[in-house]
Amino acid sequence: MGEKDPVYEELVNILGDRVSKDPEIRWTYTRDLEGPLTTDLKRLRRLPDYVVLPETTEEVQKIVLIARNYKVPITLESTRISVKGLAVAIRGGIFIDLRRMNRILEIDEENMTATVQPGVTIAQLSCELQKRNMLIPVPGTPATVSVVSNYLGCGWPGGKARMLSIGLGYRSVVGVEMVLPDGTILNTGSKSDVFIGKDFWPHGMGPDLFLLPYKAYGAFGIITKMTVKCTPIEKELKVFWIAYDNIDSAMEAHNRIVRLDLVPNLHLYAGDKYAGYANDTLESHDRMNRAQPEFQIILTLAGTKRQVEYQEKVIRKIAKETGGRIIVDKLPIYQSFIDSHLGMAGSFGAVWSMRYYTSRGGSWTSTPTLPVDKIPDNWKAFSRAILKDPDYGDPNFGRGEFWRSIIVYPVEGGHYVWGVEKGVDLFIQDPKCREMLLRLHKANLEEQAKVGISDPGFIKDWYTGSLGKPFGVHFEVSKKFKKTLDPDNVMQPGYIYP
Amino acid sequence: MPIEFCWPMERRSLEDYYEMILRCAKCEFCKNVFISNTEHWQFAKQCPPGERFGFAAYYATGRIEIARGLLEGELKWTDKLLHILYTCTTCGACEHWCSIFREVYPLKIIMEMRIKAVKEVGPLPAHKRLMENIVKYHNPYGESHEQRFEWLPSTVKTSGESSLVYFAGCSSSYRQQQIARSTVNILSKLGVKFNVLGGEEWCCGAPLFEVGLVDEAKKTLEHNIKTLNKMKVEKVVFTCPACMYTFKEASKYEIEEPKFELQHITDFLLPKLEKIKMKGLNEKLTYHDPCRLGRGLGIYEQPRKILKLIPGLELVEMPRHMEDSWCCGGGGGVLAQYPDFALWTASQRLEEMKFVGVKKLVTSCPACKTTLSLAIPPRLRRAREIQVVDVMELLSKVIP
Ligand SMILES: Cc1cc2nc3c(=O)[nH]c(=O)nc-3n(C[C@H](O)[C@H](O)[C@H](O)COP(=O)(O)OP(=O)(O)OC[C@H]3O[C@@H](n4cnc5c(N)ncnc54)[C@H](O)[C@@H]3O)c2cc1C
Ligand code: SF4
Ligand code: SF4
Repeated sequence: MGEKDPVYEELVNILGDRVSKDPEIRWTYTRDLEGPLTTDLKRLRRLPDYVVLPETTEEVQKIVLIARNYKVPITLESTRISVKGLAVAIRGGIFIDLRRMNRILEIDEENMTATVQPGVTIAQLSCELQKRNMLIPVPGTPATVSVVSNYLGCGWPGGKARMLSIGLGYRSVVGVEMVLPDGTILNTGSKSDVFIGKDFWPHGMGPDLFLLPYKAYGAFGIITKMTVKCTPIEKELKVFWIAYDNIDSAMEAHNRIVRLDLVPNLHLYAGDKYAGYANDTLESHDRMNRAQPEFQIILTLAGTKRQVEYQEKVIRKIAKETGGRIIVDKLPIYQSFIDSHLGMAGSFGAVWSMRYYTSRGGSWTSTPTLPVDKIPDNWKAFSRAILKDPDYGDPNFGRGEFWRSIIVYPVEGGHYVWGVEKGVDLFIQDPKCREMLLRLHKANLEEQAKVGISDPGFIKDWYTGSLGKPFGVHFEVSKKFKKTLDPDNVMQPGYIYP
Repeated sequence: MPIEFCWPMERRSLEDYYEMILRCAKCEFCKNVFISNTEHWQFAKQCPPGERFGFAAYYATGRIEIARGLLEGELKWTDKLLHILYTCTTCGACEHWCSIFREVYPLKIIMEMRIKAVKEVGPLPAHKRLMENIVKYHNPYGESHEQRFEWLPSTVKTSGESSLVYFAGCSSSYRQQQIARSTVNILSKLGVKFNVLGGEEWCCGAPLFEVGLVDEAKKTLEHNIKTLNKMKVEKVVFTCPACMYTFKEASKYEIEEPKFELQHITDFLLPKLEKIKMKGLNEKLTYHDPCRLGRGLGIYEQPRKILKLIPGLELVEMPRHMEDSWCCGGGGGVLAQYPDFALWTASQRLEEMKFVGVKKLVTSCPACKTTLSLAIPPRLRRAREIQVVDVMELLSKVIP
């Protein structure tokens, strides 16, 4: 006679065959892309005890109540495109796979919003929105990612959608339905106002709890519905690329363009990122890398025909005055931008993303949020860290001056810059990678500190540790919220709250 | 571009796939049709067991992790693990997309796991029966070998002199005889001289390769190849894509290699049909791409071109077609071991057919025809409200 397992029995009562405690089923929820890179997987032997596949908010609520009752940890995922082990049940317990909550609940064409469950992917929603000439911010990630989980972690539109005009994905959220750790179903946004009862605007009754779930990695509850604002697809669209030989001129152009609020999207790429996307062998990657200009500004011009004509005129003038060369939109890779603009991250855009990972393997050492004036210093600090590295700096091994990249993403009017994504290329299969990456990361932090930039960085032992060690008053206050809502730390333990 | 997606032997052991396993990005491209092609999300999914059973383990992404678990010594063979492993229909959709995006080759990994499974714990009961039948009767159904060519109409003349052989395969010889009969009728009407193997035609081995019983599979495949080589034939045509695929893969198994050309019947007939005028057929129908024919052998256009040559015939595509096609559910030993699940998969295809407003589905594979036909609800089958036919059956009616 096996021992009684009341948690399992209660889960089965609610979910029937959508719950499993088979080791084979549980095992398949233990790693993501960078697992092998950042962790010795053989060291990680913690599996969830149960995996569940809920389909409704009510089922999620019941699961949460069981967990709370028995003090069993919950870990959850919407789609696991994550590269950082954000959904590994490092404390065991119940693992909630939300993929079966995959319905688009409403597309409200009048208010230009869409309401989705967490298993709805960017591709799925974009597919329906396109038919209505609408779009949402599309990340550079494979479009198989959940709208909810992507926007929860910010939703970073990559090289694609209208980062400058619309902003990060989460800025398009107008409300969520969320199951809190005590089983309460909370609505944020205008729906929290009982007199309105509709999601159309992010801010409801005060105090505004709009941001409670963001970057919380499930610690404050499970989002079961999200309503996002949609944007009409513009009639006219062009992609421009301006090449520069030095970061200072590129930044001058960047700043002038963003201050004018001229275009819906602009990125500054430095280094090899583009070659990585467009090539699938090391040789062609390296060839293209050497041939391409070191700094490139990539812009999206969009609007009515007249608006685009005006944007083009001003861009040409700024390029000329800052010593930039306009490379016209003739390269096939631009197809990826155009597709993505139409809302299809998962088409060519993401093929390139995946190629990037295939041919070289990429990882980022740090992605700080910086004010515009700090960018050149940051780039130079990173370059110094690379060049003094025994592997990356070795022209025969790393060809350091080429195989590094940053992307500057100005957000929402460009008055601040979100994300200076600094990457190095490496082979994910190479055991040396982890060591190299950690070494480079350390050097980078030292060089950054010399120019007054602090950044706790990206590299952690994601699988066995936590998301770094948040600190400061902000974190202490958040701990009090957490304690009130989740006294036993049942929701997503081991990540933000150990 | 066809992909090599089945029973691979290049690496020769699961251990050799470890680094590829780690490379899986969990991007999940292998779950869906090519996203740019998606117009109807309800028909965007591609992995039948994943969609049916829901847990990650049943999709390619999870199967890869299972392989890691076995290699790291964390997982053991259990009934559940074997259920996961053997509900893969080997449709190759995951393999196809991953070969474009990331080159992890999930189906190769699945096939290696099956080879390891039969070595370590033996085949599943239904697969064991297939094996015993093939060894004893040279067909998976346990039918009498003597009756293999009973389908051959006495009116059709085969030619011992001919350098062309029609390899009918077990499904058409025993279960879908109409396909074999139609094929030889068509060849005769077109004046093509051909031969058949008669008692020397044995199962090609596909049902065994698919479930990991490679040693037994090699023997029966090699028997066919040796016979054909001895006969000095120049070309062998197939109506069964799985047979052709298996012959094509022969070079991987250290057995005698075919010294003849392989051709699918649709590819063989197309140029001949372009030169004749066929009778009209006022019908609206859809075409189902068999996994081995499409993703396996890269034959998508030929059957469609043939259908379009028939005057009056209207071909309507289902949302999932060509590389995006949804499996019939019968492959990979699934129909034998898990018939309910196979028929669930087939019923999803029939739903899709209904969605595009047609009542007749044409395919180009006897196994697909069998599985899809079995999924038609009995009432509709009796009333002939929904029909599943092979291209050959359709053609035999319209060739003058
Ligand atoms: C090749 C590649 C390129 C990428 N490029 C980009 C890019 O350009 N822009 C970008 O934004 N991202 C990018 N990513 C990262 C990827 O998009 C993120 O992983 C994703 O945004 C998070 O989704 P997920 O499916 O991984 O989340 P999950 O694995 O589902 O979860 C991530 C975290 O959120 C929590 N969570 C998930 N669902 C819920 C919920 N319903 N309620 C509460 N908490 C929840 C989980 O517990 C977990 O801690 C890229 C990834 C890859 C592989
Ligand atoms: S098998 Fe290939 S396509 Fe599927 S998740 Fe892994 S890397 Fe992506
Ligand atoms: S071969 Fe088909 S059934 Fe098997 S895992 Fe891949 S997509 Fe799923």
